[in-house]
Amino acid sequence: MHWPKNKAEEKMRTDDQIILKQRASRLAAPPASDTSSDTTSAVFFSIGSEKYIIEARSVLEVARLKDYTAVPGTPPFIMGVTNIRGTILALVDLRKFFGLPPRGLTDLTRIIVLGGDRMEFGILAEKVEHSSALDQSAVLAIPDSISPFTRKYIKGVTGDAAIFLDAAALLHDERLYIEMQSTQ
Amino acid sequence: MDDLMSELLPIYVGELREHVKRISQELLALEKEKDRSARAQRLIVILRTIHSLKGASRSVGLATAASVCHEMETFLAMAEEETSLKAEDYQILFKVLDAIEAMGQLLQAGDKNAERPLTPLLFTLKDHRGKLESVLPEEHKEGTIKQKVEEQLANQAPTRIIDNSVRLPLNKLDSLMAEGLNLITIANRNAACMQSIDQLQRTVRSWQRQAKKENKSMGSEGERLRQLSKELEHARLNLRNENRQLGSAVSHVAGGINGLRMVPLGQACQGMDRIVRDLTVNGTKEIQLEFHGMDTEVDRNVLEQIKDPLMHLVRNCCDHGVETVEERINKGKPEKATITISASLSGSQAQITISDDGRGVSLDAVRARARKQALPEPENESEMKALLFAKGFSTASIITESSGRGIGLDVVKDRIEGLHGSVELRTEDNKGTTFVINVPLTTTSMRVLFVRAGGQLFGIATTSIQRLLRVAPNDFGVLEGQTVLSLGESPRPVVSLAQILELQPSPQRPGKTPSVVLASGESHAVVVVDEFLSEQEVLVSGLGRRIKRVKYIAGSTILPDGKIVLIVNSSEIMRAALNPAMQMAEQKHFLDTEETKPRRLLLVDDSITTRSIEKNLLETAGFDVTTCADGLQAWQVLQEKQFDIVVTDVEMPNMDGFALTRKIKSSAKHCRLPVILVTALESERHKALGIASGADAYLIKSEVERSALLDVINQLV
Repeated sequence: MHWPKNKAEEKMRTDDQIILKQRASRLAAPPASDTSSDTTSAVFFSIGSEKYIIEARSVLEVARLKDYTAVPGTPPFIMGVTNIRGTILALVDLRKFFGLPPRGLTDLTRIIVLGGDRMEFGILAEKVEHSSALDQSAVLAIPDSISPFTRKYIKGVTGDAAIFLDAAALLHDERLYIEMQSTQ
Repeated sequence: MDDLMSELLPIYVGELREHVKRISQELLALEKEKDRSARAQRLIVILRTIHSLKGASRSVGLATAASVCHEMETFLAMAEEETSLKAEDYQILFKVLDAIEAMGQLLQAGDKNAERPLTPLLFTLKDHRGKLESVLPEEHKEGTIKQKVEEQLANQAPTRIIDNSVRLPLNKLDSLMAEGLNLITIANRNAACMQSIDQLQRTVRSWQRQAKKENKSMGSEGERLRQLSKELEHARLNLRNENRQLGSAVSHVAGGINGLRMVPLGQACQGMDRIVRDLTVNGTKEIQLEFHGMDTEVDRNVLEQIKDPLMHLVRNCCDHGVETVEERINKGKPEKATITISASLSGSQAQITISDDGRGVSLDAVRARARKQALPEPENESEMKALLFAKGFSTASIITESSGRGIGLDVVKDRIEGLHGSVELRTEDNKGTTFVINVPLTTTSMRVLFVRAGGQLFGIATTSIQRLLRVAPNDFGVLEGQTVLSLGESPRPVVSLAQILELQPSPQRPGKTPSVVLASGESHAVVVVDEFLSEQEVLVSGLGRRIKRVKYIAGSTILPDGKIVLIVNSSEIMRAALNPAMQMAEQKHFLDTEETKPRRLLLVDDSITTRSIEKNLLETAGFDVTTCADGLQAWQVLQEKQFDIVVTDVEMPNMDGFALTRKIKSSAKHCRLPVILVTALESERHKALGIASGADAYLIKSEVERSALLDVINQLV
């Protein structure tokens, strides 16, 4: 299997230009806080010391992880599958998905089920803090320290260092459609 | 397209398919029919069906399709009036039917210009009619013919059969099926609730006994306890009764829904006569088809999957198996060859055989072909059969239009094995070739053997298992550097399921190794597992919307407790077993007889993720790991089993890690057992509490790296 970093690194180089472009367009746009006081309903959760936010409209439910089954031959960020009322759901470990270094042990006990009209997949969280309104003006530009690879899936960060995930980007990402080739 | 249209179209396409099928069948029959009145009857049916199709096409605004139908009507009536239809007339009609069918497919795909396959044929039909007209007498010209047709239709029309069946879109059936499966899960969960009530009642009873034993004055509290116990018993009995009824109702409903999906196998053979007709139209071969047991029912999913393979095999028989008329006469065989398709039930499988009375597959021909394709030449019959089913191999010496286009027997084999079925070839020189196909009746349920491999549960379809063995260590042999097992037969390759799936092999137990002998056709492989568990009929699901295909895994099933168990793809496992790379690596694992006793570790954590991550880590490091979800469970396990070390979480329900540690350290039996607390609690106070409870080490989860935990354990054991 080849899911390790080199692919991500390769991507980083090619993505450099895009990032510069994105940054330019961000600077060109009027500051968000001036134009809108829009709020989005969002779910706040954490994995270890990392805090995340995701739009509530892509979250179908938050369930407790009771049990899961590892599926051999899938990429490492697929923890396995679980059963939610008879539906089989793939579970994604975001830290592995973003290629973050493993740090300590985390109790991933909650499943944030993402989808539109049906459940697509679940992302695992340690704690789901709350669901509340997120003021768009609180969302700041993505800092340069965030890797270009992760950037694709992020809408911004907040003042208290929570990462605002781009649910649509995650839902449509082809890495999250698992189709391994047969040997022959 | 407006809403009404988009609603009508699927209905129209369904109707279209049925009409085309009907016309096709009747035309084929008409071609063979000699009796004049029987011909007339069939013609009426054909004309009526075309007429219905015309009406339907007009109502959905498909003008070209309606005109084509109209032309067909006229053409048929005119041609039949004069003389019988000629072979070329049939050819045109079949072409038209193909085009109508193609239009149906385009419509379904949402093509705006779906009628385009029809345009050229409209001209052909008109042109042909023109030719006929020029030779026909006046009264047979278009006007009169049409009148005749209409008269006939008017006379015949109202024989509508009242049919008490309904047409049902497939997706409705599928969603009903999904709901049915859901119902089973709900019923199972309900049964699990029942168990917790049982447990609750036992607890209350034990309180009562305790109170009695301690001879406490039973006062009002005792009375309340008695009352509670009584009411609980009542509720329990009621619930049990309800549960039983629910269970049987659910299994009836689920069974009924499954039954709805069953369709006769004959449906998969529709159109075969057409294929044979097309293949023999040039006249060098004559073939008749015979069908037996076509009422054998299989799940429609299975039917869909075997349709193409069956068609392909029939083509194969026509092309390669059956000789030309001339050859057959020379051999003293009847001029007309026969291809027989028969189906029957055998256990929970359907067996379908396709056989011809042709020349058979000759080893020499296959060898010559192999030489041409620079493939290793088969030495014997079984190698030859294996080669015939290999990728890209075709025996046709000329590439014909109907076969030898790259897809071949390998695709047939893949498809059938994908259904957990098997295909086998039998051949006899100059007597014929027979393909024997075995497929399960349904893919929604399956009989599987549950095994444990690499610490994880897996299901193996019993249809792919030849037998189960427990093999003693010195029964394994080595052949050309590969681990093999000979059991009076030729040596068979040995692989471990855990290794194929790249799982951590469990520490080897002393004694005999549980092994599954997998069979597919004539090849066999021995697959070693940790443990055999039960054999069971299960409902099969996929791996969810996001996991479409994974190597070695065919699907999954949900156990009554809600856990998911993966079902392995036996054919892929077989292929891996026959791959020397897999076997080579195997060698070390099996012949390594030097055995150190693994250290036994009790892992306690209420979080399933932490538990499995730690378990993996510790098993990799060579520990024999037993897991528990809380302190109370752990304490019970400690009474039954010996351990070398305990690794426990702190915050847990029922009995927390501090309490467990205190209990261990204060018992005479376990006080020497080392305990490591692994916790998310970081405060100094907690650390102090941990040490006070007697723990040998205290680790903070967010700080634990794999090496740190192992270092600590190694210091203690």
